[in-house]
Parts: sequence; structure tokens; C-alpha cells
Amino acid sequence: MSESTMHGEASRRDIPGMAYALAFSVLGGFALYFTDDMSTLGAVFPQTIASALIIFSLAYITQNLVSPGSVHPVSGEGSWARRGLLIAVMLVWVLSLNWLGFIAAGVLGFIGMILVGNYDAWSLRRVLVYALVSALIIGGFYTLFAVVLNVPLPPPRWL
Amino acid sequence: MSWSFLLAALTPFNLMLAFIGVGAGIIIGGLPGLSATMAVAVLVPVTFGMEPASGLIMLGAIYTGAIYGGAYSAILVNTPGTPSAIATTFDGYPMAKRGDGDLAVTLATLSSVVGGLTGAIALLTLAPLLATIALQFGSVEYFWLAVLGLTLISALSEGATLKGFMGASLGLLLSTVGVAGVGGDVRYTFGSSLLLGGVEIISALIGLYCIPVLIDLVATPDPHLRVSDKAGGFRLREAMSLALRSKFNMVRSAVIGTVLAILPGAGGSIASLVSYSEARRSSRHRERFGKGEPDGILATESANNATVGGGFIPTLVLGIPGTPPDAIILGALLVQGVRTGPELFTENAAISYTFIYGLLFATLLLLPMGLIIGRYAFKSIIAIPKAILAPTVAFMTVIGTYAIRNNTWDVLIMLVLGVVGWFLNRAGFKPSPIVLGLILGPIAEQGFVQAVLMGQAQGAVLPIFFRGPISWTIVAIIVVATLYPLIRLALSHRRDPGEVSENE
Repeated sequence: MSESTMHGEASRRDIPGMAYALAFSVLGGFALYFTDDMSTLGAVFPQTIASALIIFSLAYITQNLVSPGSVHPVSGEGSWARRGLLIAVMLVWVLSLNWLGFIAAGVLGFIGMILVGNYDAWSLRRVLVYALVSALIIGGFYTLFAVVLNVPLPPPRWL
Repeated sequence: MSWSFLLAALTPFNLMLAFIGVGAGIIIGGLPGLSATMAVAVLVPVTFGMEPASGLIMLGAIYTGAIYGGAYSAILVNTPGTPSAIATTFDGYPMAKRGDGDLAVTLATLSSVVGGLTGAIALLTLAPLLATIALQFGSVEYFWLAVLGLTLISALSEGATLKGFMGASLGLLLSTVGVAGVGGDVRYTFGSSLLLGGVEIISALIGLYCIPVLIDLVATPDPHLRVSDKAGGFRLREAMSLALRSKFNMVRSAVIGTVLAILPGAGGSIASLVSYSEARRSSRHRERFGKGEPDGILATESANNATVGGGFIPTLVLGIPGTPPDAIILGALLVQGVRTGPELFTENAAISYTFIYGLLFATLLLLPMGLIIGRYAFKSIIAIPKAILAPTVAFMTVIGTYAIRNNTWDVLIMLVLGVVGWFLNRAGFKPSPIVLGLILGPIAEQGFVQAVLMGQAQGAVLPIFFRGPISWTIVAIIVVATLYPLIRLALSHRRDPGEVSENE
């Protein structure tokens, strides 16, 4: 087999898909293992599904090894830093809900997300407009859920 | 009796919900990057305090408005607002470029109303008939039905069948976390009381459908979309004349949309592409398609709005969602304690029929609201910067998820599943099979376990799964759906072997 052919085949193998399939088969194995503690009635369905997950995953890996198909095109465009920052901001936002309370955590999260999503140059006018719009959106949703729908949103614990 | 349901749909409160829902749907659907699924997902918690019929009316209105709203940006800025509007760009944008953008928007509005009404009327007439058949279903049949739904969504929707099956299995496995519905076992909680309640369906839906969109939304700057056409007016008379001339095309496309929506996984994007292709194939002016042919817009917009009513048929009657937004609406019904199935058309007829009439009114509201928003507000809608859009959507996901059970743990699960979903999406694992697995898990498990118990009592487990013609019919469809990619490949090889090897 020539090197180019080998490269061609390698590029057609869905390596990320195979890696996930491997992870899923391990997950299926764990799921099967933990059914030991369950009653027969409670275990029969998870055992069947975990076995199916392992079979489908191994079938996918085998299919890719034996007869590689077309690879799912992955778009890598855009800023990875902003993607990571968005996840970090949302994680901090969610984890601080119980401690800071809904409004404070929401305001901080909202500001963080504005900073992550903004690509334009900052000006006083932009800051004022964004601040006003943010206050209206947070206030509007807070009123809808806390006042109209009576949802008990988490209060701050640090006060 | 049906008059009382009609009048119930016409209460000022329900009409107001339809009005707000259509407006919100149009605005979210008009924003490129935000789909109808996302529109329904972020707004579903707002409906939890309402009566089931009112909540359904609002969700149906959001759904129908969002599917229609996708046409604005498809026509005026060549960027489909929702995946369902991809085919609308083919002729919509060329029309806008030559100065007929206002006519194209009016044509899209008229055909969306025709398609939406066709789908809703199909729901009104076909769903009760299907419900009569569904009354014959027992636990085994419901198990097979759940498997059928998962098979269809895996085989038809994404093209990577095995990945679909893996996603569906993952969703089914997630549905087993917590206290088992049958037997009461505590499963996969690892000693944590937080997992006893399982993975909350709506949290998972919001996470899997909204968080990946958010992550990619902030990765690129605003596209600075500009409306290429100076909108002059509605040109309603001219549009009606064109629509009347193409009435057969519109109705055929609406029927295609309705029928395709009944199949899980084949949503608005497939329906609009199939109807567009059919409109071009049967047209006497095929060469005009892709260059601003009104028939192209009439076909795609009629078909994608017909999927709204069509998709509700299996959702309400069988509990198997026809399209991704239906999956979210089904989850919302489960949260409200409304069990879908044939009983929804007998014992709970007030809910289903009031909703269907409400959906008809919401579709009619598309005409004035769509024209006015398209004419006066669209430029402002697409000017919303991502720096405001992203935190607003994030805020809605956080508050909406929290409001389901007043639990911050659900919000964390939503975020984690969303991030995992984003990574999986990049590797070609789509969210719909996972979501459907999560939703259909309890139905499938109940049917499966009951069938196993019956089989054990009779001394033979396997034959119980293949008793009766309904089971056999569903199993036959499952086999065909599973083998469908291979059948399609074989047919393509027979038609043009060279083309297939190039595409592989």
C-alpha cells in the first residue's frame, strides 16, 4: 500500500467518532457493571440498552477500520478562546446561583457574557445602551418568573 | 362539543398567548443561528404555570412563528434564519436582489399560512383516526413504537445511522438514572441524593439544543447583515395572484410537509428541500428556479410550515415526536403531567382540540403579524448584536431550567449536557436521537419490562414481543428503516456507480 493511499484512508477514517465510540463502549461496560446492585426487574432494561450501546459502538469502530466512509466535516472557524470563556462564565454563573442569589449571579453572568460576545470597540454610548438593555432584560424576566409565575428564585446567602 | 373547544381556543387569554407566541417565534426565527427548536426550548418554562391547552397554544404559536420567521433573513439577507428556510434562499434572495424582496416576503407569508393551515387541518382530522388505531396498542406495541421512533430518527435524520443509534442508546441510558418507574430501584445515582430525581427532560433539552448554539454564537463577530432591498410595501394583491396561479404547487408542498413531518427526524428542512425539488421537477419553467422563481418560495414555505401540524400528529397520538420542537413540547406536556396517547383525544379531548383550534388561529395570525413585522421590524431584529443576544439567550436558559423544579442542580446538568452535546455535535453525533432516547426511555422501559414479565409468566419471553399483526407491522418498518441507508446506497450504485464512488 502506498503512503498516499495510507494517508488517504487515514483521512477518511472518522477518528473523533471512533474515539467517542470507544468511550461509549467503556460507558456501556460501566453501566452493565453497576446493574449488579439492581433487582432483576430494575436491571433488565439498562442491561439491554448498555449492551446495545456497546454493540453499536464496536460496530462503528469496526466499520471505520474495515471500510472507512466519509468523515463528518468539522468547522473549526471562530475564536476558541471565546468559546472557552463562554463555558467558564456560564459555569461560574450557575455555581454561584445559590451563594450570590439569582439577581447578583445573573447580573455578573450577563456582564461576563456581554464581554465575551462583544467584538466592537467600546464607547460610552455602547456601555450605556448595553447597561440599559441588560437591566430591562434581567428586570423583565425576573418580574415574569418571580412575580407573575411565582417561581421562588434563589436569594443571596452572603447577606 | 367541538364548538366548546373552538370557543375555548378563542378566549382573550388564549388569543393573547397565540399573539405573543407568534410574535416571539417570528423574532427568534428571524435571527440567523437561532432555530425554531431553540425558540421553543428557551420559552417552554414560561408555559408551566398555564393550563395545558393554553401552554400548548403558546408553544405551537412560537413554533409556527419561528418556522415562518426563518424566511425573512433567507429572503432579505441570504442567510436562513432557521434550517427549514435553507431552500427559501434559493429563489428568495435572487428576488430580493432584483428589487422584489417585499413581494417574496408576502409570498412566503401566504404560503406559510396555507401550509400551516393544511398541517393543522390534517392534525384535526387524522389524529383522532390514528388515536382510534392506537387504542389497540398494548405494552409490547408501545415498546416497539418507541424503538421505531428511535430507529427512524437515527436512520433518516442525520445520515450516520450507527451514530444515531449510539446517541439514542445514550439517551435511553440517561433516562434510567434515578428511581426506576418499574420496580422502584435506585439506579446510577452513585449515592447522591441529587440524582434521585433523574435527568430532568426539559433541562436536558435546553442544554442539548441551546448551549451548543450559544457556544458557536460568540465564536465569530456579528455578520453585519444588510437588507439588500428597499422594502416598498406588501404587494399583497400581486402575491395573491401569483399564489392562486400556483395553488396546486402550494397544496402539494403542504401535503409533502405534513406527511414527512409524521416521520420522526424528517423535519422542516427535509420537507422544504423535497417540496422545492418536486416543484422544480414539475414546473414548465425549471430554468427559472434558483434565479428568483416565486414557485420556489411558495413550495418551501408551504412545506416547512405544514410540518408544524403534521409533526404534532405522532407527538400527541403516540407520544413519538415528529420534529425536534415537538420533542420539547412533548417534554413540556410530561412535566405538566399530561400523558400523550389516544386518551388525549378521548378523556382529555378538551386539551387536544382546544390546542388544535388555537394552532389554527395562530397560523391565521401569521398573515397580519408576519407582513407587519417583515415590513417594519426586520431591520431592527437582525441588528441585535451578539453581545446582547448571547447573554439574553443564556439568561433564558438559566432561569427557564431553574424554574422547572426550582433546583440549581438541574441548571448545572443543563450546562454540562450542553457542553457535552457541543463536543458530540462536532464529531457528528446530533442531539435529536439523544433527546428522543431520553424522552422515550420510560415508555420503552415500561413496555419492555411488562412484556418480559408476561413472557416469563407464560414460559416464553421472545414470542411475546412478536404477537399480533401490529407488532409485526412495526417490526417490519423498523427493519426497513434500519436497512434504508444500505437500500439507498444500492439504488444509487445501480443508477450511477461512478457518482457514488466519488461521493463516498
